[in-house]
Amino acid sequence: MNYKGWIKYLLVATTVMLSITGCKKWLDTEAPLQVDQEELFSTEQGFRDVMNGVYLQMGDATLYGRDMTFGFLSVLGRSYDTTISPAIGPLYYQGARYNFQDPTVQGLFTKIWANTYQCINNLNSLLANIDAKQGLFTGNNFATIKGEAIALRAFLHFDLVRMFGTAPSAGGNNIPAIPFVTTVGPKATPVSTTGVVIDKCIDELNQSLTMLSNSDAGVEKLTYWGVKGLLARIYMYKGDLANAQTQALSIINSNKFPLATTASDLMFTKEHLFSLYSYQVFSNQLYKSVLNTNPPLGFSIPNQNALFITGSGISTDFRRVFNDPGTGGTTGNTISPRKCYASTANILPMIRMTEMYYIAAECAVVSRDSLAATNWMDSVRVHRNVPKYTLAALKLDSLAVEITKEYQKEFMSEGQMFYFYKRRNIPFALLPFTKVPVVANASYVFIKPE
Amino acid sequence: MKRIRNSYTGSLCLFLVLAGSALVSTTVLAQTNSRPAIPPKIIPKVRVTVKDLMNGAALDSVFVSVGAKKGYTDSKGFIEFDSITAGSQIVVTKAGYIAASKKAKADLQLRLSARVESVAARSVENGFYSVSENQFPGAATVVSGNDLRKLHPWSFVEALKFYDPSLIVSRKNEYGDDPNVVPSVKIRGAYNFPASATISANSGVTSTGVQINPSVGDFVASNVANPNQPVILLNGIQVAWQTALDIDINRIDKVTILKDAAATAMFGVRGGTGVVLVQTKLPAKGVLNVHYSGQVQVATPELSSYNLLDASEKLQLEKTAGMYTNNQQLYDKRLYQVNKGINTDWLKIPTQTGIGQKHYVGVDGGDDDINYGIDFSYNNIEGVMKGSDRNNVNFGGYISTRINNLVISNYITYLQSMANNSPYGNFADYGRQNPYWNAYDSVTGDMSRILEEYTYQGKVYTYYNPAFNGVISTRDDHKYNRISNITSLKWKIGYGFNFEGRFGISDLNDEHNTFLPPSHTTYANYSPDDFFKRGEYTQVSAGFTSWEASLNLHYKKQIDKHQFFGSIGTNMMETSSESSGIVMQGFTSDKLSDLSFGNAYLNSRPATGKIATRLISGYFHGGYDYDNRYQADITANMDASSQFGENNRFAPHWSVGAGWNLHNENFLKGNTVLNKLRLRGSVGMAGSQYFQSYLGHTNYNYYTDRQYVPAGSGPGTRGIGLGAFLTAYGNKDLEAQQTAKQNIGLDVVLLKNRLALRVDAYRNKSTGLVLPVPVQLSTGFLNYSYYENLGAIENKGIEFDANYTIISNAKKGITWTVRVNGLHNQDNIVTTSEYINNWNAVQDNMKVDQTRPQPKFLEGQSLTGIWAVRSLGIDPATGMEKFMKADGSTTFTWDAADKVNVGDLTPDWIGSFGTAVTVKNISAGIYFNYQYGAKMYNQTLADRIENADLTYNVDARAASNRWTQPGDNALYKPLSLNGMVTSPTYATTRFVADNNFINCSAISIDYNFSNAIAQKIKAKYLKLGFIANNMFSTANQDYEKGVYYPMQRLYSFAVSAGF
Repeated sequence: MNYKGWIKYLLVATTVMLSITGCKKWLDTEAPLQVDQEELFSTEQGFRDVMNGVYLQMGDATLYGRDMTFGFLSVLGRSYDTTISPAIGPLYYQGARYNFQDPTVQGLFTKIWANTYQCINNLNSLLANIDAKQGLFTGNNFATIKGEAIALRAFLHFDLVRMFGTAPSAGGNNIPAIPFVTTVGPKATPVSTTGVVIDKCIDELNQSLTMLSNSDAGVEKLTYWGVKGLLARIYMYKGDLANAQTQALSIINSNKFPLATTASDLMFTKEHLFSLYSYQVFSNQLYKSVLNTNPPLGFSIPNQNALFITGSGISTDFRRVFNDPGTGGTTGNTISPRKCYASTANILPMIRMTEMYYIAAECAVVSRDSLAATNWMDSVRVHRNVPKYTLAALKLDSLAVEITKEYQKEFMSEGQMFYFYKRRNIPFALLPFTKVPVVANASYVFIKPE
Repeated sequence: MKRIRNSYTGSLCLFLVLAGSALVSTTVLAQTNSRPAIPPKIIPKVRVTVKDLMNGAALDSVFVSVGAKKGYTDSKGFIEFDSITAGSQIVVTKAGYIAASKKAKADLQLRLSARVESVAARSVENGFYSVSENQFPGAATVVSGNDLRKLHPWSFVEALKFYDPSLIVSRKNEYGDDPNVVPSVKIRGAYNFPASATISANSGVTSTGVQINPSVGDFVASNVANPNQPVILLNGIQVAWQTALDIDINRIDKVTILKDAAATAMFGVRGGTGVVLVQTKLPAKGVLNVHYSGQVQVATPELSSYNLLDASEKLQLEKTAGMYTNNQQLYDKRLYQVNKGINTDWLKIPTQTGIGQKHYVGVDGGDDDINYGIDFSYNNIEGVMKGSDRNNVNFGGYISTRINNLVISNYITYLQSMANNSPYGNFADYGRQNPYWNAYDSVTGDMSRILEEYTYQGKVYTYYNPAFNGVISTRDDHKYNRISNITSLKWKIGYGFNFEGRFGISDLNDEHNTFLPPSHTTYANYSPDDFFKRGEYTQVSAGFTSWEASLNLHYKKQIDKHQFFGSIGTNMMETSSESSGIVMQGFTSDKLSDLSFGNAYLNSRPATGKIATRLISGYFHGGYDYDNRYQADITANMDASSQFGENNRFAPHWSVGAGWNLHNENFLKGNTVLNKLRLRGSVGMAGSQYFQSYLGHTNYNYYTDRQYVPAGSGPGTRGIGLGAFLTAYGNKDLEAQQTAKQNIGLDVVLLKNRLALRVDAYRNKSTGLVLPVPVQLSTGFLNYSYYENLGAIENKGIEFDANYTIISNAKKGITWTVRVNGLHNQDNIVTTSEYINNWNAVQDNMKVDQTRPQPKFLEGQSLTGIWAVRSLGIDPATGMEKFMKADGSTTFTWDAADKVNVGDLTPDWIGSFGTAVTVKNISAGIYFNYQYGAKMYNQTLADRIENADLTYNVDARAASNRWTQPGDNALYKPLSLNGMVTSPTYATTRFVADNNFINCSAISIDYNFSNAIAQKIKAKYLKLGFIANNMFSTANQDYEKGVYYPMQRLYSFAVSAGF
């Protein structure tokens, strides 16, 4: 072949090379060990995978997988009274003392803050992409996923404001609390007051209700009824009882979530409006890390009796069952709530039906309707193998006491008690089952890491 | 955005049109010579002998032509022609020599004089085009391989710094002369913050966009880690510095250093920090040439800066410090050892005299039509620590063929490098062992594992022998293979057009193995529970592939006094890097030292990394010269790289330069003093793409160990709830860093070419540095960093290089030259960023090691300042150190907030000087490098005297000049058993010292045997050479040089011959 032949081939080759590579695509190298956003959001499943990723991260030990449920928050909410001593470690010991200046406690605050905002950031990233990709979705899935993402973002913000903001009952509405983050980017969102955050949560939840369908099945995701339950909870925290009652009653009246009649499922998963499956508490790994360590967290037998039996209780209460942390058996040092050992123990309740009954009862108390209030309480009691109150209508002040007690029994080791005390701004001196006194500057407001 | 892209594709189209039109045009190939009408007189035989003018050696492979007849001289410099027309000219040419011609006669002796590089106008080849030095307005230095080989037996970079002061080659004192540590290289000054301050460390960051465990040939990773390092190209394709250092120095033809805008703008995003080009030798023409060179290198440890206590002094010091107040028994035990005469020289135990060898064989030959060469070399570099070496094997095969106006060549090379690090470990462990401990068992004479064991107050104290690890199967080696192939094509199209195309591909495979056997002293204190966790084997495999393709079209035209030259071209490259590493734990026997004998993986997953980058580049260069007097030069470049955000994918670069040859002006012509006076200057912009990859991409990853709602194990429930999470949020607007360069230079040659002087003044400002943005946790950016173009750094300075030929007597064969050069550079941080400011604050944190001065980057300051608290000395009354606070008041408390910039590690002047003499067959040279005006922190005084732990050996000065009683004017704080515990000494001006020195970097002697002797072994040439490196230094000897690895003196003896 002569040189002209060579050159022709060379030029053909280079022209081909340049036309292929002239395009920008060639330069757009994707990170080999990552999934590029463009690729992930090219199918509907990609959006669902991001939602799953958020739920999985919420199941982390520093979030709902332990410390925002049966761990740290339950120590603060007085679900445990045994071994509250330095031997349990600084996090739970100092937590029980409400010593928020302790570096270990602050370390957890940082993790809760950072990890929750990471979940929010993932939701924001999903929401930033979903509108442009509406064409990818089948059926009603666009609205379902978008509504779910908006609602879950509000759920997370609400728990942050309940931890890091001053409660409305303590005059917190105008006190700066947390940033309500709806954008993705390196620029920080300014901090809003508790009142603003709560109102934003309510707005967003109402918006998501327009997208979600009340026939959506599955409470392992935040769906229609979960959102309504969350609204009832938020209105209650805000002090907007009328709306709280409306939401609670509409859920109760839907009859979609019948209360249990047996003790076969101590997590009462059929009553969940929203539950989180935590992979890491599967096989009780995370429960064991606090309830089965040496020394274990637990609720002492005398106080079990005081709470469940003395007064208006009964020993056959479904909820009054505890295990021995060492053997896992039903005899011996039975101080660990048995629900944490149940086969459904990895299904963590986020919002439960019984809370709706208690909200209804609490609202009735405020509107001085003691008959209705007693009725709502009794509706739960009969499903917990506890007889109805002897009076058809308890006195209003004893109702207030009874509601607190029922909350304690019902939400043991679920983290909700801390929020309950904080919502009611209960003085620390009046907290029950206090093993070690709280520090002088104790507060219900967690310290923000930034 | 779109407009820019169009113009870019437009330039490619233009290029294609040019190339295409050249193809269809017919080319004039050869011209027939017209013959004279009258039959001339014929000389039947013409015998030509060609010799070197200087030493009279016969010159082989000289191209001799007379009319249409041509050929090459043989090994005796001889060639014979038949039937030559009388009166025709015999033309003799050889590369590196000035061509000569003479009228033909029967016996002709020609003597060629070698080109004297510093005087003759050379051409500058910048990898894209070639231009005469007198027409090039840029700042560039070209150094020949022969000059480099005079100064160092194997490291071209150590030699190169002698010829150009702007190439700053530094080795960290800690790493001494470890043959497996690459020195850091930069040109002129700083262009970026060090990687340690910019590769963000948000606590959760797992993927930084930097290759983990990269191949040593991964130049992307290497440049990201060393952001001031210039890009280096080997025969036109980019390589890592380690690769360039592993090729045989014998193969280097020349090295070019490109500095300013006119020299680097066409490199675009690769040109910002300067460019170094290494060109290997092309095969010589001739029948068959064989070259051999053999070398023996002797490296001896240089430990004179160590000043340690001997056994009895150490024991005495311990006693004085009160170590034995309650433990007379231990004192007696140790005294017994001392009295027995045990005084171990620990520095000797891991060190050796390393004797390495190097062999090079090259075979080449051919003519203008076909040219070939094969070379092979083996280089065994032995370090001064036992078991530390580097073994490089090079193989190259070159072939080129000419078909009319087309030259196609292919060069394939193979490089294998096997590096072993000493099993003896860290050299610092030896300087601290007590001399009254015996390294060897007193009975068997074997290396003992335990040096001393005693019980005191119920506690057992055991001291282990670090040298024990050197005699068991401890392993730390790194091996790589590199295959590279470069195919190039040169086509003389005609009408002033030339075309060049090149395709280069290289592939590297690395394997890094380390093994700590179970009896390694690391595991000495393992509890019985962890018995099966002893021993650790780490294996990292890495690979790196890169390819580059380039097309260039050149044009050159002269019309009367006007010369035009232009080039247009395009370049594409791709790199891909990957690695994976595993760690096995739990070995039962030292002998079972293979990966497969491990008990379990240390981590459940291998550490893997993959990075790919792509670059497309197009450039145009146009030059104009009027009458060899005035030159104008412009360069335009457009680069598009995968490293940039998608909204700023294209980065333009440019330069404008001008030159003026005053010596060609009428008013200076005919002047006998001034041979050359040239003024040149350029301004422009080049960039840098070496920051982390994928910063413009938003990425996700999947949880691999969990799914949401895992219910049961049936097939229907698998994979339904896989979860994805954000791992990176990209900045789509991320741009290339840009460096604006200004340079003005003057070239003067005086006094019959005896004095050559070059001076350059420059200023480089790098802006848009890619720096992390500090983010608040509420943004959710905990697990990734976000980068923006922030920050600016400027460097400015002046450099000079002067050469003077004191004697140049060609007839007697005597030359004597001297050279001196220097660089004054000043780095200045123009703008920092919030992240850098936060980083500075962290440097004052007590969690950071404050016993050494930590760097800080403040606006208006140098990058290499020493930040320490001003000391007022040891207070005679109390023995405590007195400090001056930031506000000028005095205190006894050291506070990081009082640190000030007390000096600069960067010298005011750095450079070299030397002289070389040639007398007939023998030449000798002595070469020095110097620096002046630098400061240093004497870490030895801090670590080995005041902060020393007397459990181990310390610097001999620890015994004296200590404060003992009120009134003492002492240099050092009171003696203490452990200074770090009782009264730690943090960064203080007391230990800041001048760091000025003159080092004798090389002494070389060469001897060229006369032809008569060479021919006895049938050689064309025969040479002996000797080089001694690092012979002496005026440097401050107050600190220990070579902390983790000792320094060395290097002697090498070489013989080379050609057949």
